[in-house]
Amino acid sequence: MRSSKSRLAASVAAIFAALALPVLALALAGCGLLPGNTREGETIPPASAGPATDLGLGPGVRLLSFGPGDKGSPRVNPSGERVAFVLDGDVAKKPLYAQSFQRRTASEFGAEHAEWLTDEGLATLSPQNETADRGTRTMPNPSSLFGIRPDGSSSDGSSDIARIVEDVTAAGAVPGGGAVAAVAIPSESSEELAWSRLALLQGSEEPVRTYLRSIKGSVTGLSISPDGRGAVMAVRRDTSGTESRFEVQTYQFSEGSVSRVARLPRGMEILGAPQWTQGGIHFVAGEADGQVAGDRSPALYTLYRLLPGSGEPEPVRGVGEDFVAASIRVSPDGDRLAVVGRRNPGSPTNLYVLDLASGTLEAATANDNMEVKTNPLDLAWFPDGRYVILVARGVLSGPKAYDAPAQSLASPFYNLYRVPVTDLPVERESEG
Amino acid sequence: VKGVALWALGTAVAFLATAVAFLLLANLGGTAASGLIPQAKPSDTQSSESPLVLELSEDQLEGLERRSGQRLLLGMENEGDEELSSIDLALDVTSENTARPRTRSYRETVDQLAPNESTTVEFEIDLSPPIPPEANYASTDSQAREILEVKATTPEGASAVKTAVLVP
Repeated sequence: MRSSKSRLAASVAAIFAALALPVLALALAGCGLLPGNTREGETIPPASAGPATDLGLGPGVRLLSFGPGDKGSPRVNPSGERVAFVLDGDVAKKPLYAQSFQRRTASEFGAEHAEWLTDEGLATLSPQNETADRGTRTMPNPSSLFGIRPDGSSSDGSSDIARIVEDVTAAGAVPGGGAVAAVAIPSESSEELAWSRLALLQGSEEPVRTYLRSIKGSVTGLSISPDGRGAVMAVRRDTSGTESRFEVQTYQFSEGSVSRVARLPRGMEILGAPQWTQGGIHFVAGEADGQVAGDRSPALYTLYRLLPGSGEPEPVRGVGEDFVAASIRVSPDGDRLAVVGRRNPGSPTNLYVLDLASGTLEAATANDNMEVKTNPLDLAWFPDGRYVILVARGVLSGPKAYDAPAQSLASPFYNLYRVPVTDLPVERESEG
Repeated sequence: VKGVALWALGTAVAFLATAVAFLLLANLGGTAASGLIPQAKPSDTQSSESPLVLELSEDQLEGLERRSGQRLLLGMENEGDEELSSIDLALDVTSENTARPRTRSYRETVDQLAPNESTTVEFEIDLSPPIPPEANYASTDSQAREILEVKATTPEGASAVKTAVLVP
């Protein structure tokens, strides 16, 4: 009796297994966990599932856009679902992994820079056609800051785009997106005594908060700290006669106070916007006359760090003595710095990540014949800090023919690439 | 014993029904996700089963100049087993700059192409830069790459595409 019971139980178990295992296998195959007939182009397999592909920037890099057009200023929205970018002077946006995009500005808008706001609207800088009549020696060409409302928020049929601040010389955002600070030159400012005011914008339809404490000098680069409490600026100030010197200044939003935290030696200039990190303020600087005429090659630019209270910038040693920095961007949590640059003047441009706590530098890309954009605007973090977006295209020494339509090609044109920046192998200084 | 057996069979049937329902839902979700960028590298070379094959020599492309009256020879071959007729060729010359989408279009027709036969079609194209340069974004237009895209189609549905990218 006992053995017949156990035989029956074994039979039931066998029937159960015979029914369950094929179904389990089918279910796993449906979820893409077993090899099968996948529909490429319809679903996005996880990075580890597909065959190892190299887009010219090393393993794990993923394309976020296709087709012709000069793309730049990529920015991921605070929820990490969409990306906005500038396409041939227009602001465009799309879901991160969708192929089609939506233009948010009229043709030839002339946008240079786009940032997400807290309400999913966008802020964008576009050059003003008229030039500021305050001389030309030290005043940068002014731009206007426009607010672009989120989709469908305009119920009364009014325009989705509105000019918010005029005569803007620099703008920057909090690293994770959501708040944008702009520095504008008031009409009372003059060439002899240049000064600026700071404005803070959080939503496309919210009033702009203007800070009354003026900033002495012309602001050339600006970014907001990861905690959103202050801004750090590169400021060019006239000293005497035709000479000017660069300073690093900070602006505390809560107190409305501005402080000079460093003054660079004569002849040095700051490239892009300084970044406020957990390891002090970082910026890229070099000899102003060190570049080849007409070429913005950052051959002589170095990454500097400014510790709180020191007042004396020092070269960042963790990147190596020969490192040539081009652009930097602090991570949303402030503990890492994305750096586009070269290990030495003869090596290719790559994306590196500097861990600010340990001082170690890790290579995130392995450039194989790609032209990586080095403008400080063309670098962005994902809000979760796992990826960085850069803009690149393949180097073409001559004409090239492809068996595909232009809209489905990526490498011949500037496109957006998502680069993983976690669990990277540590770069040894001797590696070139 | 009978109770245990019934319980086990009931569980198996319930598991089966749930799994089938999940499979159906997964398939519905898959069709809705079209238009997404695949993980794999986009095809720079098309793996089409079309019998039409187009050829643009890179040596020839190297010799093209940015002015009018440029001669472009397009090679075409029928690799299929059946004759192709009324092959329409559409050549669009565009700039990489999408803000100023000037397109120069050229059309040719090849009456027929026998199996394994190849032919050459000649286009006279204008590659001169637009005049005058204008607007905010004109400053970078001289750096934009030029695109030559040829599409061949037949009434029977055969098609092929070839894109050439010219550097400034």
